[in-house]
Parts: sequence; C-alpha cells; structure tokens
Amino acid sequence: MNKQLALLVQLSDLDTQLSEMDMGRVKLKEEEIGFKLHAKEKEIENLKNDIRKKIDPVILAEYDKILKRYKFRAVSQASEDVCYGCFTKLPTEFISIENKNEKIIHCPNCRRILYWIE
Amino acid sequence: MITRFIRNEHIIMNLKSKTKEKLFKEILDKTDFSDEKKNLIFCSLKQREVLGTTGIGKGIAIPHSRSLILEELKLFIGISKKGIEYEAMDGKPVHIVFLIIAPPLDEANQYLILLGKIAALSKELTKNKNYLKVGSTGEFIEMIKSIEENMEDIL
Repeated sequence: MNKQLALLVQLSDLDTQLSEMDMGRVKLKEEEIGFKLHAKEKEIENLKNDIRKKIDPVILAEYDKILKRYKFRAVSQASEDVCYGCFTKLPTEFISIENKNEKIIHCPNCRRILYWIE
Repeated sequence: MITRFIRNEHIIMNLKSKTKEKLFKEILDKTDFSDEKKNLIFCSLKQREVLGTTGIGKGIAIPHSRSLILEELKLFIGISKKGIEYEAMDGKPVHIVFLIIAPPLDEANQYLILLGKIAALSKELTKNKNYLKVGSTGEFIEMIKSIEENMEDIL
C-alpha cells in the first residue's frame, strides 16, 4: 500500500471515531454501556498531529478540504467499480488500474480519496 | 445475535499476553490480514484507547474500533486466566476480551447494536466466572448461546 495512503487511512479511522463520538446517539450508547471518554482536547490534538505531520502537505490539504465538505469519511472504501462514499459507479478505466492502493486516487464524482477493499 | 458473529477460530481460550498492546497483537495474529493491514487495525484500536479505556471493569474489556481496512464486522474473543494489565476503569486485570472491528459503513449499524449486546452478555458472564472453567471453544460458544437465549432484551 502507498505509504501516504496508509497514513490517510489511519487519520480517517481516527476522524471517524472522533466524529462518531460527537454524534449524540453513539455517545449515548457508549456511555450507557459504561465507556467513559476521558481524553483531553490536547491528547486528541497530539494523536492527530502525530499522523498529520507524516502526511505530504498537499495531500493533507486535499484531505482536509474533503473532510470539511462532507464532515466525515474523507477516505472512502471502494470496490471494483463503486465508491462507497457517494455510491456512484466508478469509470470502467479504473478497473484496469493495477495495484490501486499503491496510488492516491480520487473518486471523480465526490473527490473522496479511495481505498480499495480486496 | 452475538453467536452469529462468533467463529470458532476467532476464540483464544488461553491468552498469553500480559498487557493491552500485546493482547491486540496476539488477537490480530489470529487473522489472515497482511502485516500492513494488521498494523493499521492495531493503530485504530490503540487510538480508541487514548480516547478512553474500553476496560469497563469486573474483568471485562470490549476494545472496539472502525477501520477502512475491514470489509465486514469481525468479533474476536479471548480469555485470560492470569489476567491482563489493561488500565481498566476499576484498575483490575482483565480476564475476558471481546474485540470488535468494523468497517466505517456497516449494514444496519450492527457495530453499535453488537457492542450493546456484548456489554450485556459480558456482565452476565462475569456473575459466576464459569467462563474461566470452560475447557474448549465449543463449550464456550454453547455457554454464550445459552446466556443469550435466556437474556432479556434489555437493550
């Protein structure tokens, strides 16, 4: 896997967790089960920055722009021909690309960065 | 619902790990993911622990996270007779672990529902700690089945 894509996956997983914890329903369920979210703002910031500082600034700026637009899932899973971010069929020429996860590829429709699940 | 996600090969009856990080690695080693993918899932689980421990006390831990790496929700169960140093809420060692990993999008939000069901089940399990006496994964699955059948739908 492309090293930058691996870092973007890591960052996206963290952002997904954080956005879910901000969602009332998820937060309520976690608290109901007995999980206490005690991380301080600074700890979360450090966690994010540890990953962000390793990402190419141009790619990171693209990631932030997509995240700002959609609020979550700036990196989206994709199957052979569908982007799971916008559920749009991907162009047929994408199918023939070899080692897709070795590259940073955007969905032509929603611009999300794609991670292909095999 | 829980038994639907249990796979015999995803149960470790005698965990060797003594710490949280080693535990995650020991469980992920049971999967057939590449080392790169294992590492990304490991990072995701570790990130979740920074936000707040998933050791909910009474010897139970339910580490859980979402990762883009996953195609479908997976549940792993581990038992440690000696106990694992987990930084649990009550400070006590963890003896039973339910590890849940799911993709960012999952069918009918099974992740959250399963999380709730497992929390309820694990509380039942720890009432008598019989799970520490079980000899095989088959026996353990039967024990979970019977608790689940008798459990009221408290969620």
